[in-house]
Amino acid sequence: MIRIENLNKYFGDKHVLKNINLQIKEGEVLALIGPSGSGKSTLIRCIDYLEEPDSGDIYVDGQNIVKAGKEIDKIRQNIGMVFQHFNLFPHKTVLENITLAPVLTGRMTQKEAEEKAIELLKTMDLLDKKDAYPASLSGGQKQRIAIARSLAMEPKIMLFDEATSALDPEMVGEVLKVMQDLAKSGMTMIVVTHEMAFAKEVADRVVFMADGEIVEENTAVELFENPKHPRTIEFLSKVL
Amino acid sequence: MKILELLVEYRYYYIEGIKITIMLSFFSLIIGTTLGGILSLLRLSKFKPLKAVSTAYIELIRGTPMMVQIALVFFGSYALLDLDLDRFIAALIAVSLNSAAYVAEIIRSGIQSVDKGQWEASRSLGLSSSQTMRHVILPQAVKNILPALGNEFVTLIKETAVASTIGVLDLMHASKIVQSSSYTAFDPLVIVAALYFVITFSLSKLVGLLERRLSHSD
Ligand SMILES: Nc1ncnc2c1ncn2[C@@H]1O[C@H](COP(=O)(O)OP(=O)(O)O)[C@@H](O)[C@H]1O
Ligand SMILES: [Mg+2]
Repeated sequence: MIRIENLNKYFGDKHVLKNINLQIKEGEVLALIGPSGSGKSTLIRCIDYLEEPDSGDIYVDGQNIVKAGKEIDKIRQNIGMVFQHFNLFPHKTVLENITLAPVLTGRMTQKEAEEKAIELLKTMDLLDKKDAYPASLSGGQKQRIAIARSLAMEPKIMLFDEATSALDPEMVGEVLKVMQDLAKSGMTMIVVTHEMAFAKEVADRVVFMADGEIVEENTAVELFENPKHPRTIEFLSKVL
Repeated sequence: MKILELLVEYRYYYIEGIKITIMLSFFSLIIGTTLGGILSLLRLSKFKPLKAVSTAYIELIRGTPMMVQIALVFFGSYALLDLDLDRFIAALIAVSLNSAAYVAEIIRSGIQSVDKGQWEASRSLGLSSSQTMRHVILPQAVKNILPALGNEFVTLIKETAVASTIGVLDLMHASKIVQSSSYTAFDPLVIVAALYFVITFSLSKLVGLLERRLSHSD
């Protein structure tokens, strides 16, 4: 579903992603962990082409997004991205936030998009907020709406960049629950997270990054129970 | 009570002058906003030559006095193009071209003040850059742009006084007429200063009101 080959990314002189090779199968849930500054965000942002790689290829569903040109908009419609700071559209209601993209991209009529939005809001238990503006919502509610907004496009892949890091602790659970349900439903997911318990329970595979490199990757159980690389051991001893 | 007498006696000149000043400022702002919108998009574009042209234009206009620009348009159109431009039209062209540069900066900073996460969220949903601009960025930028445009209007009201140097019959020109017909130098200056102040002060208050309205609807 996603194949990353020899990916390199620089910010100025700084080599942020060093020859990354990675594959994700359909329906797989991959957790991306590592110390802050190790390049996790940059990596998943490259997959959505929010960062432009300096070299290498990224195939999403067979298409090389690095060479997509104008086609990138179409490819992005199949990739959902959830940000740490939600990035809901503050001038639009919850319902409008969710229906905007499906309608403008021509995926759905206004009526279909609203039906889809209402269905999503019901599963998130947020139907009563449909006419509210983002400013009146709690962080946990905002993030669930942001996830609904992405899901309304019926993407094949969902990317999460520390979706719970900006939340008050008591709201982390409600967002993780939504992500867990999504994983169970068979969605292909890449999750950058500091929630090790979540990664262990939900991820099929865990990738540990440090200094722009993939240091170790393994099944969740293996990587957490039996880390091999000293940097992984050191990192896990700090966070577990 | 000389001042009141002058004000009453020459009221028609003042009223006509105020009309011309407001018209000149208002229409320049409208044209300037249209051109400024285009300039700001060019300046934000990734295409280097267009970016360079608009940046150069903006810097050039902002780096030269409006008085010179007005004279250049008025006398230049005659000297270079053999055009006998109406004085008001010449001033309108010059002030619009001037205002376009300032408005371009207003719009650019309004657009840039919108959090970059908004752009990313919209693009990541698959919207094109023009859809993102139109449906996500501009509606938010307008909140910053509108009050700043109001302030630009206030600035223009004051700055268009230099149009009187090419003989446009604006408020400043009315004041000069009053000076020469009443043989008084000082009092008409007090009057014209007060009139400019009343106009700009009430406009500023209106802009403030608008600003509060817009920030409430968050
Ligand atoms: N837009 C940017 N400009 C310059 N440097 C950046 C930018 N974004 C990230 N970096 C740098 O790249 C490195 C990797 O950052 P990031 O991918 O955000 O790491 P992580 O998500 O693992 O914390 C860091 O050193 C960070 O400072
Ligand atoms: Mg990060």
